[in-house]
Amino acid sequence: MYRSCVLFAGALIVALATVACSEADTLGEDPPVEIVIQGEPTWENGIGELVTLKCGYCHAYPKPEVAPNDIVTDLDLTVYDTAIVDGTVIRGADAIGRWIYEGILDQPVTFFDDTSMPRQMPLDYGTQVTEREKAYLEAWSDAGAPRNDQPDPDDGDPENGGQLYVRGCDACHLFGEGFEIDGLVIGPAMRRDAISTAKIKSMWLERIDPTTPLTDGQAADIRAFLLTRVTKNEPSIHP
Amino acid sequence: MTGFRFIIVLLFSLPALAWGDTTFQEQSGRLQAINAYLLDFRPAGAPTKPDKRALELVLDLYPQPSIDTRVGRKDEPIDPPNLVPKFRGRYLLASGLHLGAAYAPGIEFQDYEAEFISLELGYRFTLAKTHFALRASYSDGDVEGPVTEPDVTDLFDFQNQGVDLSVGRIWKDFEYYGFLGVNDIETRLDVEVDGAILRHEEDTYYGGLGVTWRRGALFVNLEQNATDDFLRNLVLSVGYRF
Repeated sequence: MYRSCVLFAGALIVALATVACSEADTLGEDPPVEIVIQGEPTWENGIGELVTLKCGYCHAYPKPEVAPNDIVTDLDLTVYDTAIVDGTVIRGADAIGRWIYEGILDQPVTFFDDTSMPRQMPLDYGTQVTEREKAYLEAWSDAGAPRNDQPDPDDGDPENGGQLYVRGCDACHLFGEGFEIDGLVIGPAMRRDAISTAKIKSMWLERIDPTTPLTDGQAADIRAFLLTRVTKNEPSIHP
Repeated sequence: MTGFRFIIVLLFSLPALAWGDTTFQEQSGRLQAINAYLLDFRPAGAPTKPDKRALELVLDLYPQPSIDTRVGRKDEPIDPPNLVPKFRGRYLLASGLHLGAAYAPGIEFQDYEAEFISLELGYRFTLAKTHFALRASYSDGDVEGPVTEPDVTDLFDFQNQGVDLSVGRIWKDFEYYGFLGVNDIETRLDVEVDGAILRHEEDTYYGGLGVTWRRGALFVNLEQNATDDFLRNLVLSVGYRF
């Protein structure tokens, strides 16, 4: 009996000292996966993959289970285009260039009449954006969050664009530099480089007329108007 | 020998824990898998076929490995229990069939409350002085407590299903064995703070080596478990055979 006990104790000690171990690789210290983009970042050249991977797991439509309860529910970052889905305007990635410009990757940002809490993105428990990816996103935002490297058409009719503009755009973007009431930004200053037909179409659906999307031609007309008639610090923007 | 060799390779030449680029989904999935496998119903006993019908009552002790719970940039000071006890009953028939079960009634322990049931059904047989056991197991339960951050009550739910084959030999008072199996888990983590729901499904291989020391009706078991390449844990058991 005694000998067996000693043998077993010895075997236990040897086992614990040599093979027995208790260890778990949780991936907790692993760096976040990084998307590398060659060339100018556009939605179709890397940004789509990046935004879908690092934002689209929560910001999708319908709201994924993994998303927090208080997330905005009209934002789908797995697609580029803002669109009407199930009768509701669902913003796509063509709507987020402004947030990146306002620094949402560095600090909590609140925007317009958005009902969500000011938040920095990604959230702490999300897949983090690397410094290189942040640079891609900022470059993309600065370029107007383009879908691809095809430039917007320059053949828009500014006269027609002006008429469309006063049907709703000027309610917020009355002044080129933007304005606010009681601390709430109503119409942020327009960034000339970020005026794109995609953004115009997105804003039109979201803020002006969710029942009647703009055609590409109408968006090009508004863009032509904005680029040729609306300039910073100019008090009147009516045609 | 091939099976044993595989186990040896699995246990002793486990690579340095792999490093790579990851996503929060992979991190949270891995954490859920580790928690589920740490509550799994492993053999914790040699496959020796009994001479006659017997009932075993066993206390299994699961020392918990250190767990880095970081997900993304979130690094909260979670302090889970260092040891998880589990009471197991095992009914062995002379034919080689055996039934086993473990149940935790949901007693609060260090801010955590675990309630689960585990079942096993197996068949033991002997060939040329070598003992074999084919076993299927099932575990279902949940853990309430601060899984993602302190002072919250998250809910972790898991279901494990496994099948394994054990092979053992007897030497004096010792019964040595190794086992290899495959496990399927389904987990769900409800995060209290955000209302987020994280689900994870995974199939993985597991294996291990163990030794039972038996003296009369009393026995002690030490089992080294390895789950794929990301979890190694011990199970210490003390039991009595009636």
